[in-house]
Amino acid sequence: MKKMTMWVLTLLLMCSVALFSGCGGKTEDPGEPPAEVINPGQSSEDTDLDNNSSEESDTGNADDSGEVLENAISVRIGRDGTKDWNVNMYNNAAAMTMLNYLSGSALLFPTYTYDEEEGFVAQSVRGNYTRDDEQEITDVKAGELYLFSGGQLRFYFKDMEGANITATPVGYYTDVEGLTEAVQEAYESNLDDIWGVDVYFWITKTLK
Amino acid sequence: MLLLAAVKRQKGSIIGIFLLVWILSACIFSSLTLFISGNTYVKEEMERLGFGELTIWVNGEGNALTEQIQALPDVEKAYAQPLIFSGYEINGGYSDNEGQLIVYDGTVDYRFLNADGTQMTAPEIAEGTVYISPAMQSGFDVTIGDTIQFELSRKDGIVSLTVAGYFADGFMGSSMIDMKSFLINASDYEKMQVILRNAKETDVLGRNGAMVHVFQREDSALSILEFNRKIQENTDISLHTEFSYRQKSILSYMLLLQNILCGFLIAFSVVLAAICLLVTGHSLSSLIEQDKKDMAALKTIGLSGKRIRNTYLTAYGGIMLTGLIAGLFCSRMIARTLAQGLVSSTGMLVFVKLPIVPVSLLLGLFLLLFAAFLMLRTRRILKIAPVQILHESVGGKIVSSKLRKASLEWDIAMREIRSRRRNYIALCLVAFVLTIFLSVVGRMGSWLGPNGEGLMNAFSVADHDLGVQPFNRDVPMDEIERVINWYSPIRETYELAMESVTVNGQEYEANVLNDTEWFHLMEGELPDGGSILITETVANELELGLGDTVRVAANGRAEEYGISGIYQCANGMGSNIGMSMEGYSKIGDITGFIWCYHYVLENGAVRDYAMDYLQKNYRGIAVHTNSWSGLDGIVAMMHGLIGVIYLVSAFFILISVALSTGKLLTYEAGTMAVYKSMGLSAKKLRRSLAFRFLIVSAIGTVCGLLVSAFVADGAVGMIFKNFGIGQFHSGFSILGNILPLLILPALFFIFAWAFSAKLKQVSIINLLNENET
Repeated sequence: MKKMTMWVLTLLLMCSVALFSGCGGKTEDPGEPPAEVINPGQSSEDTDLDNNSSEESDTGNADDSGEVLENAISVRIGRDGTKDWNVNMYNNAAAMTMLNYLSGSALLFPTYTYDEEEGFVAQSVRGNYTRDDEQEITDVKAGELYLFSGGQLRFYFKDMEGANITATPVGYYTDVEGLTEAVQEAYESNLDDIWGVDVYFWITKTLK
Repeated sequence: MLLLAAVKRQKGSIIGIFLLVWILSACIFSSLTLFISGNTYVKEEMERLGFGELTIWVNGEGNALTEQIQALPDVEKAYAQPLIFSGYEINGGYSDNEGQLIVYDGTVDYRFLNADGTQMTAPEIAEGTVYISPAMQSGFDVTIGDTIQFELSRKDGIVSLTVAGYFADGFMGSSMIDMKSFLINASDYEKMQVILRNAKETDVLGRNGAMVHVFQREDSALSILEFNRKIQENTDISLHTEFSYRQKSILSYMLLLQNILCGFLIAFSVVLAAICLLVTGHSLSSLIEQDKKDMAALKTIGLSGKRIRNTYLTAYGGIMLTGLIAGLFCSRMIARTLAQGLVSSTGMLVFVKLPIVPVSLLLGLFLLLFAAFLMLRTRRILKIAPVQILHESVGGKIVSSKLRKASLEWDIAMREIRSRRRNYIALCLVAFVLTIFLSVVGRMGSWLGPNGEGLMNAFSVADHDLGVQPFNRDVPMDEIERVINWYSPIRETYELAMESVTVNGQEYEANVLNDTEWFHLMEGELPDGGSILITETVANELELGLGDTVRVAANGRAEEYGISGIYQCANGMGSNIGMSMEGYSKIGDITGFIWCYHYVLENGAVRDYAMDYLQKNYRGIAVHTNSWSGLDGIVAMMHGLIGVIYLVSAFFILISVALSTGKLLTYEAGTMAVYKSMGLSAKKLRRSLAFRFLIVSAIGTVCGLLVSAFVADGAVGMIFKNFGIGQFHSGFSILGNILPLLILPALFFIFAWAFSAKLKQVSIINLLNENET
């Protein structure tokens, strides 16, 4: 009987510990994604639904393209620039992605490419961009912003006739008077920049 | 003679008290021994291996920087230990962090280890082989004979080395530190240098670096923070710094797991000590009550109260001292076993030595405490008057209550409790104290989660399941996001950069978010372009508060920022600040490959599968989950610790109940016999007795839970603050709030029922026989 009691007690001790311990199971391995996920060009009938829904949401604004978001951002040219330039943005996926990176605080945006001859300042930007709104443009005007397929954002500070570019228009400066000179001055005043930046821009999202 | 008789009669109590004190002693002395030995040993190892007051990891060879530092007036000496930073792959798994490859030429006296952590003689490192920290076993499941591939260049730049053994890495050996050191042969190191020199800028993946060890002059009046600030401000070190650590910080990292374990065991020991005193006190009181008549008789025949008291003091004091000594003897062995088990987390086998002075002091403290307690509890013996007590009847307050047939057992239990309340106070207190502690432990376990989610979130800047950092423009992030989305739909995404900055001259890591809403804000407001967040650690270190202005510098630029809030991120023991992308853009280039894309998944459980796939199939990226190599070890240890604490608690309940039931049964033998003679079966009486324990422990448990609702989070928070976790909120949890309420009274009930088996033998005949003798 005593033995029996000892067994019951031991069992109880073990149970009390077991009750407190959690039991976790490992999630089943979902395997590896099919080829059409890696390369959507090879899409088959059974393309993953989640993936489709995600792409739809990415390009959800495509129907609205052509609309303009007025005074969406405000820009100061040069690290010590004081004048605010208003920029209208197109209501397309690329412009919206860029706007998502901005806030009401001024962001100091460095550009490492200044091309006096081609009339633009450029910098690669982060983010996943679709090429759905890409266009072939022959003549470019000063103050226009374009996103190129490699993720390069170009700001044209000069009118460039016969530029013949293929890019997504993302926005334009509302006032271009003195714009070329402002960029050139900012570039020249920044020649000894410790990071090697050509032109700085302070960008603030003003769109509510 | 008197003593022998007392010991003989109280055999059960004495064994029970001995076991309680023995467990208490073993628990507290082993944790104290491990804590002191670990801290002493690892500190000595760090100093022996040449870690300065401060060590700065830099890019490049570091010789010029070392000269600059050496020239500063407060610097005793500074030297650079060259190394190569390189990413690596083991058994198909890529490391989140780079490794540092160091040539072993005997200049630094590294200790080499066998697989079990014991020391071996220093070997010659053969070409093509590498020695690693044993902590890597838990993170990468790597053993001797496995191959590690170091990626130095994209084109023909992978060097494969075979693991030949282990070494004790005093700086980065802990599984809490993701960067790991590798000891290699000089000729392999030279081959790697050739690869780095010949690789194109676009292909090169590894780079030269150095650990610059800086020693402060003994007569320097600067604090370590001021010393670090002086170095940062007066040299070019900030332009080359990868990260820097004070000796104290590395020591905290190395011993994090051990210190958590010891901290909880010491806290548990305090609870056990309280229970020991409660149980001993109760046992002693019952015994005195039981022996009152004998004592009165002894006093009548001329024995002094002092002498009788001394007999009890000697018996109980002796057994407590024996328990303490027995526990102390076991403690070194337990500490050694724990140290052996911790090799895979600390990365070295701590040499366990009994710290004579602290152990003696603690032993003395316990002896004083026990002696004072026993003196206090045996005072009653002095007051027992001779003769007249012989006519007193044994019993408590007379309580008249109705006994209903339907609930007879329950009513008897209630009547007994009400008539002899004092007998149950100790049990109630035991349940109360245990509930508070178990509730604290349970809440901590719930917060920790089955996979360590609580720790992950506390140590990370912001919650996420998966992070992907691209290092070049060729990385197809759109494709990678499709893959992640296939594993689980992406619910949220944001970007994080972790960059080294100085705040008022003190080096910290800046966590920069493009969406500041993800910061774990504790107080104040989220930062904008002109403000930053700091952790409580930084606030304390730099004596800063909300609204203060600081100068943050990086990359040769500096700006003034206001402090908008306090946030939680235990990474780097809380030595970090939070910035917005706009704020950081003023002092750092935001267009570089510094950003890590963080994804919150609908089904976070698949993150490891997604990470494995991405690591295997894409180059030029670092993929990580919200975990780190040492987390599994911590989680396993914490769950194990919680299990042990519950087991020991259950054992303490068992002994407490055993002692109390024994006393009650002896004390109430007459009453029980009368109940039996009235027709109550032994089964019913046993149940009634068990009900008393259930009722009393339930009262204690409920009170304990109420108190713990107010103090538990604060208590855990205080412990966690030492590890950089500024805020702890457990919320409601089954483990912390419900289970103690159910389990503790249930254990008291079941143990009482089991120990009342003696009631079967109680009968009116026995009672009559007892009275006759």
